[in-house]
Amino acid sequence: MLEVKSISKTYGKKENRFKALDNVSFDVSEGMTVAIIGKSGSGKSTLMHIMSGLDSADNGKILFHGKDIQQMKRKDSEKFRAKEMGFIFQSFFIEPNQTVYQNVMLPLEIGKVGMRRRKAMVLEALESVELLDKQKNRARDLSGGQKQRLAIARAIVHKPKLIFADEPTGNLDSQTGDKVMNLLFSLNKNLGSTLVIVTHDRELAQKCQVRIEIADGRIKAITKPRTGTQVVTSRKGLAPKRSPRRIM
Amino acid sequence: MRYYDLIRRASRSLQSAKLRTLLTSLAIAVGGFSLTITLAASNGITNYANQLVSSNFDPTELLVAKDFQIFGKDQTKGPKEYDSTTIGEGVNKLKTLSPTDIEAISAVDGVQRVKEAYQLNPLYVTRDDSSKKFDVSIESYNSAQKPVVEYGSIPDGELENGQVVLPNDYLDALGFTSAEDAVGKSIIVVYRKNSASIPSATELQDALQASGGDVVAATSALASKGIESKQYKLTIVAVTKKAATEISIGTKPLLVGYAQAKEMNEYSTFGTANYQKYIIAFVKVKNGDQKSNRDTVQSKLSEMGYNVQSVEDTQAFLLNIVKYLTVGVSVFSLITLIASIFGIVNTQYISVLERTREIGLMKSLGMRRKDIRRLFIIEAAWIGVIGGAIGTLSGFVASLIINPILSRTLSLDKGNELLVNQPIQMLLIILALMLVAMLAGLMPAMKAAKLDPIEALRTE
Repeated sequence: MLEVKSISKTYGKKENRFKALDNVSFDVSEGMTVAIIGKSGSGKSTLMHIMSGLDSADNGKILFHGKDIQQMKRKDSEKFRAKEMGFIFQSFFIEPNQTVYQNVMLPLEIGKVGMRRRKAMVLEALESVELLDKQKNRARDLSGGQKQRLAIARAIVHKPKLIFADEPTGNLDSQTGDKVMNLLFSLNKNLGSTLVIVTHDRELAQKCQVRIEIADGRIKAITKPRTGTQVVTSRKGLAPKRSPRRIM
Repeated sequence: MRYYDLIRRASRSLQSAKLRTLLTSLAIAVGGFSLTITLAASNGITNYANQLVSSNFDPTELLVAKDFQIFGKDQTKGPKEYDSTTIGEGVNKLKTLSPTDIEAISAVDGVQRVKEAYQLNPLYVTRDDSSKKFDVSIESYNSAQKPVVEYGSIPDGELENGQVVLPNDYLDALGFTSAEDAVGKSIIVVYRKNSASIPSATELQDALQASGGDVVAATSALASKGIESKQYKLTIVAVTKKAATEISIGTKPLLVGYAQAKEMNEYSTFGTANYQKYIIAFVKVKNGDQKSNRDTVQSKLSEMGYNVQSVEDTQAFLLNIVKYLTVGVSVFSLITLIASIFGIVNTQYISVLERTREIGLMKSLGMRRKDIRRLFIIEAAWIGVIGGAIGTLSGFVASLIINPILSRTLSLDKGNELLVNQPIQMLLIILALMLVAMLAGLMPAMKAAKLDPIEALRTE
């Protein structure tokens, strides 16, 4: 469903040039839970930004059902993102002064969903994250876990095909984090949407069906179910072997 | 996003920063307030000017003059060629209408009648031969003026010969105890014949002999001998008091009938250069309430070379002055507005900076640049509307409070308020302020639209 083909991205100019992504390629099938795992600075967030169309790569293609989203005009890319994607962030990014209900409504307003359908969709989403009773509360009055559940409700309200979660449990304690992840996984199963999680948490990554390990802007390993871990063996595209330094 | 959603979202964000929104709106409100008061005053003065004209001039009459300096229509600069038909002194000579002109004007199709305006120069007024004499001015009565009668009554149409209307300023001086006391009694007005009569040879000789050869004494004796005067005994039919819409400065004139005035004028000017020379004539148009009839007569008289002024022309002239005044004062309101524009730009700019994360979120969810820009412009529009509403409403309330005080101070009657608010003008002010605020909010809105979502989301 989503094909990442030879994506490269460089930041900065001249001496400050930094290669964030180098020739990254992989496929994501529909309905899968995918974890992109790597340390801080590995390029995983950049990869997610490019996959979702928030950023553009210098080289390569991102094909969604065969259509290259990098080639889209900005207007179409925004429309596409509004309709087909949902986002969950580490710091929640909810609108604190608005109610829970109004927060979840946002993607529907952006997507210009018909007025009559909106209420039902919002209530359905709130019910699935068990926040229905809090719909009139101000978002800032919620606990961390509740806020993330609100973010999840917002991410799924328009029933997108692709959900991106950037460190979803980063700001939560382990217990709450587990609850949130279980919710995410069950929703993914029920809705049939593809879930792409960017994280540095190995435990979390283990729970996903596909695991893409990334380091220094390159893919180190891809683990798929049934095929097991595939370590990228050829040195092509990998960081050069470091020769030990001679200390004089 | 639909406009409906944008407008709701905009009002929600303003509500969550109530104090800031209010303060910014107040800046705009000041401009709105002063504009409202300015327009209200302009309305009031315009009304007053219109009432002034309609209560002092007959709307079915045209004012006709020979000289174009009257009504301010002469544009020539530099010295004027000498014209022997003019009256007046030095460089202040005026061309006049002669009886031939009056005939020609009366003959014009559509003219009902022509009345010449008389310059009356009475010598003095007194109660009787033994009483004090007072300076006085006299005018012929014009029914369009609708004087306010304190006691007595003015007959419809014209005053007859021997009748006079006395302004209450003269009651004390002429020894009347009240307006009631004066009505029915008579007063005496004296005119002097101003023409110099040339003495005969015998008269000259006699005068020289009588003065004992003193030429100066002889000349003044002859001069005073040549002065003739006439006494007019007039009965007071009514005593008047000042009306708010009267145009008069100083002591008001006595009013006599048209025929009486004509007689007085011709007596005193006979033999002088001013005899039967008129500066202005009042031309009554047949069926003059119809504008088309007035226009027809006006153009015919203009073609004949006369300077014609209708009531509308006079009104337009006065209104022009009011318009210029209004524009001048409005400039100050505009300066206030310019200051508040900077306030809006600043507030919105800070708002954009504060909401960087929110903007990043909306962009990541696929909100278009156009819609983000619209969101902030609508917020600015709201500020303009709120400010405009506060400004115009407080202007309205201020008028309600100030009007009674002003009317008392300037002794205006009811219906003559100085500050008149028109709802349409107030709505237009609010609309204009909204547009101004939107313009002010444009730059910060564009900045918000251009924010990079990734940078925006990165902010801690």
